[in-house]
Amino acid sequence: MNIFRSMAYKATAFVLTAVLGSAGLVSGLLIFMAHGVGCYETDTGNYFDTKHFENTMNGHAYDALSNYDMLVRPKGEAYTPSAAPADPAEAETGLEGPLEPESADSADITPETESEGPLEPESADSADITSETGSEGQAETPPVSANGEKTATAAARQSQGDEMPNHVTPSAEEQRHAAETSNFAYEITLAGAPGDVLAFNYKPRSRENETEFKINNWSGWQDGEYKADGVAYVVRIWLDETLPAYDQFAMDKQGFDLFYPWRYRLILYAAGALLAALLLFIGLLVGAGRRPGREEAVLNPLDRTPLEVYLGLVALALFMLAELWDKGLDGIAGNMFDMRHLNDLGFSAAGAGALLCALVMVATAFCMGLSARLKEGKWWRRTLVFKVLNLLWRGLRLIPIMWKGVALLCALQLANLLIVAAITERHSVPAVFLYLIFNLALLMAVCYLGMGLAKLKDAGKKLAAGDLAFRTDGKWLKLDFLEHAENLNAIGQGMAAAVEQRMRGERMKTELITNVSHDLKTPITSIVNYVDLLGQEELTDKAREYVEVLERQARRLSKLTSDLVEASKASTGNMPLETHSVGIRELVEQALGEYGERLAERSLEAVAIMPEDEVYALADGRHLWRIMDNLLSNVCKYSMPGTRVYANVAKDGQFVKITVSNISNERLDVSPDELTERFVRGDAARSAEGSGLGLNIARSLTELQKGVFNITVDGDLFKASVSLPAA
Amino acid sequence: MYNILVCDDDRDIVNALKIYLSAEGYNTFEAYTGREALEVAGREDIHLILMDVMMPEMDGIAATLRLRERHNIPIILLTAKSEDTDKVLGLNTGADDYVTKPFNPLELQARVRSQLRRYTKLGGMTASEGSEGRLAVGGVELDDKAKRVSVDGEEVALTPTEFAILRLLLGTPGKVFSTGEIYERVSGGDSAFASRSAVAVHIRHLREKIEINPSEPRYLKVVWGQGYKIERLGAATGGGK
Repeated sequence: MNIFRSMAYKATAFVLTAVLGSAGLVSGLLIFMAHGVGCYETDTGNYFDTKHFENTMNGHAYDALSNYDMLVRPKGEAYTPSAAPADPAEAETGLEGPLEPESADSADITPETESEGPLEPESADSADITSETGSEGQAETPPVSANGEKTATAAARQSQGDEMPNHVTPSAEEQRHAAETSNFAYEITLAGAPGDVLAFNYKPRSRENETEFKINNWSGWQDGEYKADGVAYVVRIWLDETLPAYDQFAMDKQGFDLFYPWRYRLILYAAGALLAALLLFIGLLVGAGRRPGREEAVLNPLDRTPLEVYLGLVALALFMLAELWDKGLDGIAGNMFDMRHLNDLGFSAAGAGALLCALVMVATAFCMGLSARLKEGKWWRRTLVFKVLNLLWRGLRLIPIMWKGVALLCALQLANLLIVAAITERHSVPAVFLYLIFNLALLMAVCYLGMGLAKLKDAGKKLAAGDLAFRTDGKWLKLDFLEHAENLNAIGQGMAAAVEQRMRGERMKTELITNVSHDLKTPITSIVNYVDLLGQEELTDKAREYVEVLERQARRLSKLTSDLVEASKASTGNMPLETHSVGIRELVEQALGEYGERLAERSLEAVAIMPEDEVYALADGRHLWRIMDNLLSNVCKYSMPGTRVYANVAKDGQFVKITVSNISNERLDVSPDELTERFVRGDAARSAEGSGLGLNIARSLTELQKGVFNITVDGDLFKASVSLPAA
Repeated sequence: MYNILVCDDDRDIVNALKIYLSAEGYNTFEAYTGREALEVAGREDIHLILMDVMMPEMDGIAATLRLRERHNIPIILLTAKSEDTDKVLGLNTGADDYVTKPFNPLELQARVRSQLRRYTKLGGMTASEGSEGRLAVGGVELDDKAKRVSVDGEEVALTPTEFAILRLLLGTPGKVFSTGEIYERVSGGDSAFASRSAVAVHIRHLREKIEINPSEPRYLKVVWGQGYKIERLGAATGGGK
């Protein structure tokens, strides 16, 4: 395949294709010529024996008749009998001379042709023809011989119908021209009146070398007569076999005589050359648009032009070639194809070859261009039509949807108006149908638009509600709707990706914290143990004091690590949740009971303000205890000794609210929001015990149970509230 | 003289444990992997095993499973994991108790003592069994006639209110009694109860007396938001031969 891509192949193959192709075509033309154009086999090598010859005769007769018909009888024009005698009389003057010997001439033909020297090989055939014509002639002879009857038949015809054939006589100039350009002389007579010549092209100079024919074998002809409108015509044609005029017939015969001996060889040449050219051509098509080492199709500048321009250029080239060909045939452009010059094998053959060569080149280049375009794919992109439509389309897209809508509506209303006008003005029934169909279509379009809008609205709603996995199905949507749907999908996708990433990050963080604290526990265990053991040794007072610090801090470290795990798990919701109906009053009582001792130690008085009847909330008891544990632990740590601690339980609409409030021992210089952040504590010094995670865990756990955790600070009054959904 | 096998991959922890256990008068053996623990347990006459969960070669859970194929000795798991699921897994594989790291030496000593006492002295007793007036769950025994309560064979001094509450709870192990219920059933107009809310305080005290670690009770459990109950324990957890 790579060889077809190379420039060398393409150049060589292109030239060879043109040369071989044109040579094959020329050979093909010559085959026709060698077989007498019609390609009918003739074994005799006699041109007058070919089917083409017969066709030529018929053609001449037909031309003569139609010519006569056109000249004499314009359609619809009535024939005036009175004019008839005048015309023949006039014609007779011109015809009289040659006409008279005619009857004798027909008898003359046979001996004359036989006596002809150069035509001697044809004698047998011409005898055939003549015998045929003879028989026809015999049929006609009776009226001819009985001259009196001729006029009678004419008169009979005259009386029969009012249309009578007219006589046409060409001028002397016309006759001379006809004699120069055609070897065939003809005359038209009525059947049964051979002497009355209706029309002729020229009178033969002499009857020597001439053969007379009567047309027989042609559609519409019967028994040598052509019947039209009830009138039977007879056409006689004389051929001067010396072919003094150089007409098409002479050319054909010359070609035939020249190439007849090559008639079989030419087939071989033509087939060989064309086959070779075809193979090369296929190779060129394969290689077209391909370059060595390039995967994609590469188009040359000509192939990049719009297809219409390209086709125009090709058509122009073909047109010019055709013109040249015509001119060549006409002999104006230097008698390019003049067969008289074929003998010196010069200009004409070269001219024909060159033209065909050019034709093949143009055709091959055209096919290669098409092949390259197809290989590139999307060939329609390189058409003017596409470009214009594309431009229009893009322009349409640029127009804001509102203006598009306005324009469309205006157009629709105008169309509707026109239809209505047609109905009222013309009472046209089709217009009524049109109106109905039109408005039905309009209704459907509106429904479609509504559906699109509903779909988009639905998608927007889903997205807003947090259903990030929702994707709008753009299957039935078009244009702006589709664009909008795609945008919505992109938003959903982007948000889902962001959320997913955040979740993964959180999970990894939790995992990391869990692992780290787990690994911390082993060394902490040793520290706690050995500090304890150290405390059991005999120590100085100072050393004992230091050991106590170690002990306290080791315990804090231990608490911190476990709190850290819990905080991270609670904030990511990575812990089991078993919600059921929990008695809040019971729970607060239990919690206060648990803390009874410690509160008493700090001289704190717990005051529980609770409803008489139990209130239930939907929560996880253990998590709720952990929240209370943290809150009360904070209370014990930070409350001013000797103050009261209030635990309040109240039903608040759909929520059950637990509030724990106390008076802070130290000034609270941190905002409530910050207090629930991790590692933030009310005292900046961080001297007291605690991890600073208690409130954070409490908030996370509350939120995990779909509750609301809130902290308010009013001076030294610290208030933490937990609202949980009521059961 | 009891032989205790201490198994942990951290030598410092093993040493510290040996010091604590020796101070209590126990004879100690050491192992640093689950496999070594199996060897020592097969070779020596071991009465109790302290086993770390996370160890190389063979972890504590796997070692416990293997040990349970032959031995009935108490196994206490030492674990850095404090997840509920880990505890359940540990107990289900046949461990008798667990201690989370970092542990309190006193708590550890208490648990060891408790397990040994039940392993060597007590038979498998449950609440339904026993003579009249005697209630028992696990290592907790209550003699209503003598007004005495013992945990793992060791007598515990309770106030009359605490005794009454424990008697009520032990009467139907597994049943959850709310604070109000306990108050009505126990107080009977008794002056010891200042208010209903005092029940929770009494329970807390009771837990401190009968539990080794009141925050993680074995017997008297808090059902948050509902009340309190005595865990219904099977004979297996009751320990003993």
